[in-house]
Amino acid sequence: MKKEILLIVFLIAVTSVILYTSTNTVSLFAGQHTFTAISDSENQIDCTACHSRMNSELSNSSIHDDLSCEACHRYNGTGITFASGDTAGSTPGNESHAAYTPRCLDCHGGSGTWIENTTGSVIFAPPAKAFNESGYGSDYSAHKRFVLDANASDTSPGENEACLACHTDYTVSLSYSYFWNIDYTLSSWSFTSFSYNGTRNSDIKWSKYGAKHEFVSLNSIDCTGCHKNIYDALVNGTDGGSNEDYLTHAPVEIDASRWDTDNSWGHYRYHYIPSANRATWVNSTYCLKCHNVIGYADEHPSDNTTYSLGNVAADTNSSSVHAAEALTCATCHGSGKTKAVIDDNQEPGNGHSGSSFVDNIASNYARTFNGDICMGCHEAAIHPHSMGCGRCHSKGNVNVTIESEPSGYCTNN
Amino acid sequence: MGDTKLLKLMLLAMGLVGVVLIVMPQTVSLFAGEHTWYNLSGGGNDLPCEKCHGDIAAEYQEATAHPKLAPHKTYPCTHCHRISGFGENNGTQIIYASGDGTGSTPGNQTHAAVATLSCMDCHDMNFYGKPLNTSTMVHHYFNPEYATCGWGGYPDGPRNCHAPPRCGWGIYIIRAGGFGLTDYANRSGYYHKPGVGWPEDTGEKAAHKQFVLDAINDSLMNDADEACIACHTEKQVRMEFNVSTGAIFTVNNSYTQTSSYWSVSDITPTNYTTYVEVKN
Repeated sequence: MKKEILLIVFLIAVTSVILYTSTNTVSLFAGQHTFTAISDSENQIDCTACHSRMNSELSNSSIHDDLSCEACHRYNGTGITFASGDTAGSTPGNESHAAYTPRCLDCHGGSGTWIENTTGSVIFAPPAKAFNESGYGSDYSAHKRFVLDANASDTSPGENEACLACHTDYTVSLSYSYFWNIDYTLSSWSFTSFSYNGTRNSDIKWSKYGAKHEFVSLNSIDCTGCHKNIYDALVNGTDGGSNEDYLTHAPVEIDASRWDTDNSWGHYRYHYIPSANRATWVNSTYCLKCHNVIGYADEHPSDNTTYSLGNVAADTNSSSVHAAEALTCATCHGSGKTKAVIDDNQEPGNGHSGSSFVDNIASNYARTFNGDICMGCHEAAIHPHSMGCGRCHSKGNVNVTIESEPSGYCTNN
Repeated sequence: MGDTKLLKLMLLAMGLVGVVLIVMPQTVSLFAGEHTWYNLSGGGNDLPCEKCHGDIAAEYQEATAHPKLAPHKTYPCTHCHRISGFGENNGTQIIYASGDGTGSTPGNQTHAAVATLSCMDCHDMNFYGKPLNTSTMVHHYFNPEYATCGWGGYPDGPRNCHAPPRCGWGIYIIRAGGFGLTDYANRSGYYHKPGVGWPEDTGEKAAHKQFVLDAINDSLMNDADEACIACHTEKQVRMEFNVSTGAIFTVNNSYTQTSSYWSVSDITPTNYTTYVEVKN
């Protein structure tokens, strides 16, 4: 009985305390009447309170990790008026209230811009070469069309889809569509027939962390991520059995039994990679050898000297492109170029040296076919051992079928 | 029980009853004080809202950073919850119950207060002074609820919109622009004079515009208030983001025998992932 009385007294006490300390009514959301003061200069509303993931991504980023949210998302160089409650006045927003989604070219267009980082230092955001120019610069930029189409897309502001694809850890899936193969016949280095056939659909997924705010360093942009079909064409191709694999796109392989690793210019073959190294040496650096000669030469002074890349670069348009040049074999090997075609000094005959054969291909055939036309003879796997050297090395009589990347299978009769 | 104990108990009971009879009224109401009525004849609101809404009154005081400048901290409840003269309620004046002066006004849409007001009622700054279908000026300037507007002086500090740091009549600067919601074309019901409104408020670049538009369409709170409160108050917010971590680019090679070009015909975000952010 005594315990029961104590329990009743205890319950009455607890209830009294609850009634005493509670309010009679509550608002819908606790805290909704505690407003954040925004009168100080700069931004007092913590973006990362709702966007901590972006903050984390940026912390892991190779570049831009020293920038605040506001540096990009309230960038003041676009003419956008953001809302602000700073100091004695306030500014109602016009084009935006708190933040906007910037175009990368807002900072990296034109002549670049200076912005303040989180340590208070003013740093330079360099212009995105070529793409910073009116009309996105030279048509020789291999990715110019990508940028144009990204700008036309409404998935992201401006050209950002293209920027994100290469410069961030955003995963890129590509669904390519192009021709399956070409057939052509040459007689005395003149085309007597040419046709393109079929459609190849190549799906490629460059899996990354998926973080749009993790920017990658420039030297870690992997060309083969998006161009895996070309990587496979250079590394795997179609298995040639006892013969070389059918490796296309560039003469990466040679006939080890018949060809030297040195070429007729007297130096180690520029495009050649020993089979043991193909899987690793076919990378962005290898791509730059042709698609950005200036960039490659800058980073490889020894090769610059060996291959006279200063002169080769002058034959190209690599000074006016963003990352890569859309080119043909004739860009370097056409008439009058530093590396114009010369004859194999170990074989009889004149081949097509001194002729306009390569120039003719570049002028009269679509760029997309150019490389495969050349590879129809220069692909090592189809180097015929038994049909006589003169057919190619002097007469120019061939009948070629060659598949596009990545299979590269070829017949040359 | 012995006679002595019984006598003591009876004396104690009598003493208690005597004390109770002295301190109690002869009859008791259900609640003490329920017959002490507030006088409503003064200008503005005479009822202490915080008597029941102490939690909200306390929240205002929790804005510790720059307390003198903390938004709304010194405003009476009625500025918002008996809002009048701002074009509120889509331009239709709200009639509240009032006992001001010698007359009185029965309420129409509400009696004492509106719970579901909108931040943008005040922060669109578009009201010219007359509600729809009437020629009577009802700008809040004429309303005794707002008679205290102005610099309150120390120690009270600024009391409302017209006090420092934003002084004077030109307080259009408190307009929540940048979402395209104060543009003349977007809320025509509020306007009564051509040209009133803020056409420069396009909101075309606002990163949170869809958030605001979705908040307007959501019935949890009035208008865009869910969005306003998420950023501008210390309310805890849990957000579930569903974002793409990649995109599919459809790349086509167009060609004839003599010319070719590559193009990206479609870009579709993909690889969506969901994650939670909690703002505390």
